[in-house]
Amino acid sequence: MTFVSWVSTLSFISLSMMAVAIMLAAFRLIRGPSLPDRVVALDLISILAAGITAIYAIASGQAVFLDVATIIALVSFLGTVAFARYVEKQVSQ
Amino acid sequence: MSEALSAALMLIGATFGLLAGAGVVRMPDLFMRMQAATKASTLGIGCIVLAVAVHFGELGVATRAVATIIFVFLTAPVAAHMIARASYFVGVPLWDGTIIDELRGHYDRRTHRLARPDDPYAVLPATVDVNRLAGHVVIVGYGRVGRRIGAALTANAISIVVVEDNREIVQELRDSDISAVFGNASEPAVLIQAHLHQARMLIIAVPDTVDVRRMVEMARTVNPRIAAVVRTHRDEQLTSLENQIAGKVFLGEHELAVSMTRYVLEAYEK
Repeated sequence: MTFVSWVSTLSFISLSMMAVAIMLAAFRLIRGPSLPDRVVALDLISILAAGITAIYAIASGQAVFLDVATIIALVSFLGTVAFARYVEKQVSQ
Repeated sequence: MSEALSAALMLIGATFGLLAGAGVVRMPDLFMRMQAATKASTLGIGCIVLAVAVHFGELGVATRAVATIIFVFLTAPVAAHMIARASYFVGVPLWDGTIIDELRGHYDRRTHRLARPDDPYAVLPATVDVNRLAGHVVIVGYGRVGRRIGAALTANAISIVVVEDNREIVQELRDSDISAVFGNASEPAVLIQAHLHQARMLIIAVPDTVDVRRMVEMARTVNPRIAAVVRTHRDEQLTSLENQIAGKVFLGEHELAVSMTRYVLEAYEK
């Protein structure tokens, strides 16, 4: 087994694990039962997506994907904060 | 070498991601799901991004990787806190097995601001000697019965903590250097204030049998091995109550009759 294929096999395994994690989080996203449960699931999905992008940077040998991961993490944070405010507003009305 | 390190970090990160996914599905309530999701995903992404930095081994990539890690480590707790706070206000239910919700009653419902319980009687003063709060007796209710028990135990150098829902009595007890907590003994927070988890016995000197069951039940969740002593007025309650609380039940009229009979018998023996 050559060195390159060794790395790509491991990154394939990591990507599969992350994909399973996303599926589990998606199950919680659909199932709920409360709105905050869904927000937490969505937050986890976007963080995992950022992780997948970072792993793909290794798999493809393109460092640019790291920037994409950073942007996904940033957007996910803003989204979660917005959702939290929305949830809190909703109950005070 | 660096390739192996990078691969290991990547696998560790992916494992944390998988654990976060499993936690989000398997944990019984929102707050536990969050603790699985946020901790594991933060650590997971930290490891993966570190793996990228090690894999490329370039200064530019490493700088961006470290910046990403710092960013995630700063923002994840903030986002988690905001979600948890919002869900607590919405009233997302806690897990059935939750023993104590320490935030309950501490939030202003309208302004959403956190406040200390401003009742000094609801907490045991910090000046109480710690040695008196281990192996002690917790007495619930300091009425006619509780007062007599308390005085007798104190005379025998057994330390007591009184739980009483009358503020004046709590104040009076504290003035005479007896540890006392104000509150309802069927609330775990009150029992915890009375250091029930370190106590040896629980004496419930109030007669209301309905609440008594709940008090003993709560006491057992706080301290499963506590010995319970309660009182009742109803004959038919005696056995069922004794079985239910797994403790000693005294029937008021029975004890009175026993004492009166003894007095009469002693008079005849003379």
